[in-house]
Amino acid sequence: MEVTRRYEVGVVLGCLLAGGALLFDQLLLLVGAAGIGASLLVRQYRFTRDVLATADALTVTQSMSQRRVATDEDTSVAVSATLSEPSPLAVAVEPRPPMTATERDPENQSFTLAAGERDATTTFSLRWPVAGKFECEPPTVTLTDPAGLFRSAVPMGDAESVTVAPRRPRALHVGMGGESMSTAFGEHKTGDRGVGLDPAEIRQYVPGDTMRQIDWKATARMNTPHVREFDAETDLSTALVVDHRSSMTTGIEGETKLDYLRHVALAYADNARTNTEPLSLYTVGDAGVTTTRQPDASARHYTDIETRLHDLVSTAVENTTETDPTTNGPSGARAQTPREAREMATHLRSEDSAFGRTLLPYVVESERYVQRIEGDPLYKTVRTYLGGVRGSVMTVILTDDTHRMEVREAVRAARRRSEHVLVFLAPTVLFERGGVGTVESAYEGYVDFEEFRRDLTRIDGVTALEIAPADRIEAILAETRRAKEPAAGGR
Amino acid sequence: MRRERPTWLGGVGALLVAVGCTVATGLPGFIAGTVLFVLWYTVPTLYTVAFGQLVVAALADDIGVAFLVLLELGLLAVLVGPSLRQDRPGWRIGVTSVVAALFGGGALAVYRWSGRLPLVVGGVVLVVAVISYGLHRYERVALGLVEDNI
Repeated sequence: MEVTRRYEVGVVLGCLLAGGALLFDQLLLLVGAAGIGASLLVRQYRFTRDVLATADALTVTQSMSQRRVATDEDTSVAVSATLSEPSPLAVAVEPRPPMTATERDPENQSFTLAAGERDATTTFSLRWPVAGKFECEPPTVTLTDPAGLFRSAVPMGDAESVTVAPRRPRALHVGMGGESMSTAFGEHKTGDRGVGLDPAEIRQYVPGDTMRQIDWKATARMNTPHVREFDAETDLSTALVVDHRSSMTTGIEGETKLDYLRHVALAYADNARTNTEPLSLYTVGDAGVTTTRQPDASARHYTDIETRLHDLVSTAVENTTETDPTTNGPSGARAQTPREAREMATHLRSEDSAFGRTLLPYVVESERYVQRIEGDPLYKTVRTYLGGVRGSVMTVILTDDTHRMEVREAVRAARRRSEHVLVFLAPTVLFERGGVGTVESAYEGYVDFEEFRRDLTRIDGVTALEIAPADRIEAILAETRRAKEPAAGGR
Repeated sequence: MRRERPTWLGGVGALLVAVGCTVATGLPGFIAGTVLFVLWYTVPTLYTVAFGQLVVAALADDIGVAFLVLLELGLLAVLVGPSLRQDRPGWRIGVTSVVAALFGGGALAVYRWSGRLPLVVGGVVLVVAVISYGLHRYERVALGLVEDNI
C-alpha cells in the first residue's frame, strides 16, 4: 500500500493539531487530531478490504503471439483484465515488458478499469532488437481508492517468456537455375570401383578379374562366377576458399551473402569432421589473404576452422594502399606495408601512454592479413596456396558474382590444382532487398547471373551452384511465371 | 484543489459550526464561521476540519459545554460528509463517528485520569500509527507481497 500526497497532508494536519494541543495545553485540539486520525484509519481499513476483494475477483491474462522470434521481429502482446464483480476501486493494468524490448505503440500498453467496469483488453507490439531469452513479467495492477488517499500495486497474471534468436540464413536454396538440389554438402562420390571396405555391387565375372575378387557365395547361388566390387577409398582432401570481401555484405543483417556462404562452409567442416577427412581453409579479404589453415584431420583443427568461419566478417575496402605517399598530416603517417605496421605496433607497445594505448588497436588490426595482395586477391590466393596442397584435392570456392572475371580465373586456377572444383555463388540480385525496382529487372539480373553460372559449369571438372534465400528465388520465379501467363494465353 | 464534491451532510455540518460560532461569540464567531464555510466549499475536508477545530479551541473559553458539543458534532458532520459519495456510506459514517468518539472520548478520559497532556497526545498518536501500520502489513501479507526471509 502506498499513500498519496492527500493522505500525507491529512497526517501533517493531525500532527499539527496534536502538536498544538501540547504547545498551547489545549485538549480540544487533540480531539480534532483524533477525529482526523479516525477518519484516515477508517478509510485505510475500507481500502484494505476493497483491495483484497478486488484482487480475489480480478483475473489478468497475458499472452504473446509468438514464443520464438528472430531479432528485430515484432510480436503482439494481448493483456486482458476481468472482474467477476464490480470493484469500488479504480483498476489500472500496466504490462511490464523487458527493458530490451522496444515498445512499438506505448500509448496502447496500459489501460484502466474505472470503478464499476468489469473487463478491458489491450494489444500492443514489441520489437526485439537483442537475441536471448526474455520474460514479460506479470502485469502490475494498481488499485486506487476513489478519495485518492491510497493506492496499491500488485503483480497479477502469469509471466510470458520469449526466445529471441539471432537472424541467420533460413530456407537455404542451393541449386542450379532455380532448381534445388538435395545432396548434403561435403558428400562426394568418386564413381570409381576398387579396393575398399564398403561393398558396392556384385557383377558377373569377366576375363581379367582376379581370383581374389570372386564372391564364392554369390557364385554358388547363381551358378556362374560372380565378383564383388568395393567402393574405392581415396585420400581426398577438401580445400575451402571463402570470399569475405566487402561485396559479401549485401543483404539484410544476419542474412547477407556471407551468412549464407558461411552456412555452407560450416556444413563442409562438419562433414569433414564426421568423415575424418583432411580440410584446409583459405579466407580472402579485400586486401589479401586473411586465414590459411593447411590440410589436417584433427578434432582441434576442425574446431579451429569452425571458429574462424563463425568469426568471419566482411572486410571493408582499406584505402591505405590508395593513400598518396606525398600527403602530409595524419593520413601520411599511416603504415603503408605490414612490416611498417608491425614496427609501429612494437613502438607503440613500448610506449606506456594514453596515446599509445589508443592507437595500438588500429595498427594491430592491420596485421589481420596473412598476406596483402594488390588486385584480384581471390585468384591470387587460389594460385598461390592451392599449389602447395598435396594429394587429391577438391576445392570448394564460396563467393559471389561481383568479380566475375576474377572468379572465372580463380576457378580455372583451382581446377588445374585439384580433382574437382565446386563453386557456390551468391547472386547479388537475390540479396538486394531494396535495390530491385521491378520483378522484371530482378529476373533479368537473375538470368544474367545464370549465364555466368553456366559459363563456369562448362569448364571441365567444375560444378557451379547458386546459393540464395529460397523465398526470394521462388518469389522472383513465381512472379515471372505469372507475368508471362497472360501474354502466353493471349496468343 | 478539492477532489471530493460537496455533500449535504458536510454543508449542514459547516453551517451548524458557522451559526453556532456566530450565536456564541457574535462578530468574531461570524467571521470565523464564514471562513470555515468557504473553506468547506473550496478545499479538501481535512483542512476545513483542522481549521474548524482551531476555531472551536479558540472560542472554547467563551462558550458552554452544550455549544461545544454542538460545534464538535458539526465538525464531525463535515468530516464524514464525503462518505456519502463513496460506497457503503452508512457504514463509513457510523464507524468513523464511533472511532472518532472513542479516540476523542478516550483522550478526555485519560486526561481526566492522569492529568498529563503529553501522555494523552503520545497515546493517541501511537495508537493511530500502530493501527495504520498493522493494516498496511496485513494488506501486504494477504496479497502475498511479503517475502519469507527465514
